[in-house]
Amino acid sequence: MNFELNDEQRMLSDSLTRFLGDKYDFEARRRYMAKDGGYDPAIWRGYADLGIFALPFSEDEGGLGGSSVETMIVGQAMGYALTNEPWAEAMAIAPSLLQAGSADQRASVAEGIIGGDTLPTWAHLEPGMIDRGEDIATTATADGALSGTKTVVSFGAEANLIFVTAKGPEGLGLYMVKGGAKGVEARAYKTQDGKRAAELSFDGTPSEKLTGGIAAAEAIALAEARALSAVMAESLGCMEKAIEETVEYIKGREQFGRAIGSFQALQHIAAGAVVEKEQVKSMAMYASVMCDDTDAQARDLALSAAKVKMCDASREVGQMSIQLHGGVGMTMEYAIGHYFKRLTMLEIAHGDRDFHMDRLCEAGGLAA
Amino acid sequence: MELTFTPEEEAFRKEVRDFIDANLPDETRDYLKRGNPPTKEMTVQWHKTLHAKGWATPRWPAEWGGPGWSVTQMYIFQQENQKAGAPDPQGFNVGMIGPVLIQFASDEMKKEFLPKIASLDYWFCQGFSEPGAGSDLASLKCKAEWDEAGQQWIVNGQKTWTTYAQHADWIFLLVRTSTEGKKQEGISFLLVDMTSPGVEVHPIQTMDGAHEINSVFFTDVKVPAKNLIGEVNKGWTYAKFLLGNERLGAPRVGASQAKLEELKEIAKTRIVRGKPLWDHPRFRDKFVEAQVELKALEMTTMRVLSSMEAGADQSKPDPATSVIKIKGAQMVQRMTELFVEVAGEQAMPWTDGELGDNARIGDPWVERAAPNYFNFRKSSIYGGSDQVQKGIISKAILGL
Repeated sequence: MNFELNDEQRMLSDSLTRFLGDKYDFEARRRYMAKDGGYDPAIWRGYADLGIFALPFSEDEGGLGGSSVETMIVGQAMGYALTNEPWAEAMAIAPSLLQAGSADQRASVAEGIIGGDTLPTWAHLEPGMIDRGEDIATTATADGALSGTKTVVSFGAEANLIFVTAKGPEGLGLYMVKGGAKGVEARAYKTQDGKRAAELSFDGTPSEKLTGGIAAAEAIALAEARALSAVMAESLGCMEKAIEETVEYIKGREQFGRAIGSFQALQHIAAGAVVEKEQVKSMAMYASVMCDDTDAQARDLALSAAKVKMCDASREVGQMSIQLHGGVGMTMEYAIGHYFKRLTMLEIAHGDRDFHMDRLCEAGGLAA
Repeated sequence: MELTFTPEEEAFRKEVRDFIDANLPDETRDYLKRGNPPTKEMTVQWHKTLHAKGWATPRWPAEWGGPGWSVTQMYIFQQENQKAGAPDPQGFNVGMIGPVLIQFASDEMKKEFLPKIASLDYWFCQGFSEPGAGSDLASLKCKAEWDEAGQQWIVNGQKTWTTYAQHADWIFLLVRTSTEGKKQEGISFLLVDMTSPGVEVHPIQTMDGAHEINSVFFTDVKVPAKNLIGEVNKGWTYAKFLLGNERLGAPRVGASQAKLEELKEIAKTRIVRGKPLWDHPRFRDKFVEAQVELKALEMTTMRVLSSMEAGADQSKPDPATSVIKIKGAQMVQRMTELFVEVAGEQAMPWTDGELGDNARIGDPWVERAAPNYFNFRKSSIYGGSDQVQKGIISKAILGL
């Protein structure tokens, strides 16, 4: 057992952090958000050029065969820089869903993602869906014509490859739709944390079914697990930056003739946030290792435990960051509010605290 | 990064478990399982059993009798020992004064003391806090004056909250040797024989009825020059090192895991309003929430140990130990709260036996529920209170 990163992992972290430091400060982020589709394709291309999209794919698929630890390193840097692009869809979700596909399907889709030509997303949630992975109302015919409505699809209007969960004649299946395919209607919007998403409706839309790999339900569960691990990493990066920003602010802000950071009441609030962030860091590492576990139940319970911890810590760190900034923390102008909003969206992404508490409670908790 | 255990590590776990199974006296196991703290005899017996096996001083270097374990092995040992309900190796010896001597003492002093500290032939207690020096430890006043004629130190003053001073053969003592300059720069670190003339131990009863802590008075106590650790007026540096180690040992994750499993078993058989407590959703929530926090603490503890092994500076405390001190205390305390909540009104009887045996009702664990809850309020106070730890985090991590 050890918690240290190896040399290659440290290099990955350094090079991505440097790239984001150069290209993704808070002002640049505003410019990207104002572009058509809410992102800059050159940045997506830049990620591909750094090689990060090759990490999660196996060597057979044309990738580098990295583990979820690499995805964690990427996620932490993305969270820290508050990036908007659907990197987790490319690095956590797509490689997992593709496990339901044939070797040819995996290799051809991987090629597009690794090279930066493909912006993938997953149309999974539906309006009125009460549990994740069940109650799918979208249907697929035997020849793959899809009909139904999907909600909050990340970059749903911009993505050129859409994985769709649907019920076919043989039960739950995974289907791939090309961006701009016939019968797809997108109602696009911005999200609370500055990303883009869309409601997508399909009306006899042609698709390609993933066949030849593991069962769709298994691939979906794997995608959810890895997406949760990505959420842990991204939220860790957000918390680190939120604490840094807050500490910088209270060092500089003067009231009553002195820096407010010299007041013990504020110091102890900030120190409490550090304690919570450190617990999240531990759980992000645990999640990244456990999401590759071959025991699906142990994997899912571990990810649920991580998410519960993240939800509690996110409230504490996010809310204290705004509180210690005072009035300026409320403004659109300061970065801190944007970190708070991202953290809040990550709390509810891929199952909220109640969903994961239920899953743990029903199983009687983690294995002893 | 590798969080799973190798087959060799699993084999090591089995070796530890088998050894404990075969050697831990049933009487000790049962007594501790009921929620009692170990008696002196139980700690000594088990410590000596571990010492004979070479396992009493897991974190010591091999040169001084450590087993040469990796961080993972140390962790496995600690976890198995705590889960089995065995007494910990005596912490003041193994986790506090031993490492200070190894790091800062002369070879002569190491040779004189370390073997007896390791074997628990010397039981050490900790003489740090004073009535006027708690969280502000550096303001301590207990003084040692140099007696040129006798070539010895003369100690006068009082220490307090001294855990198990009534059991101790020796005390390690922070004393004031200078009142000039910064208060931290006038402190020295002495080892004092508890049988020395002028040492007096007065018991302090805690609110749970226990006698763990004491006041220790020193009146013209003569201490040989050779019992000074390192240099005069450098004691604060050694004390900070010791406190970092103390914080590292604070979480007792294995013990909390064992408590949580015990709670689960109790909840399964305890019928509340017509069904097992285990099937009550509010209990299940509390159980799972505690489990999640404990898992995070387990990972954080291992992470700190792992980074220490990977070469962090061993002579300075890692500020991350403050994080695990705070969370460790919180989890130990949470377990004791849960026992009271599960016991309900049966936690009320005070069972010191003074009114006869009639006070004993309910299961054995029930009578320890409330006293343990009261007693463990100490864990967020000793070893640097939560507020002191937050001060350390503010300064050392956040630069505030």
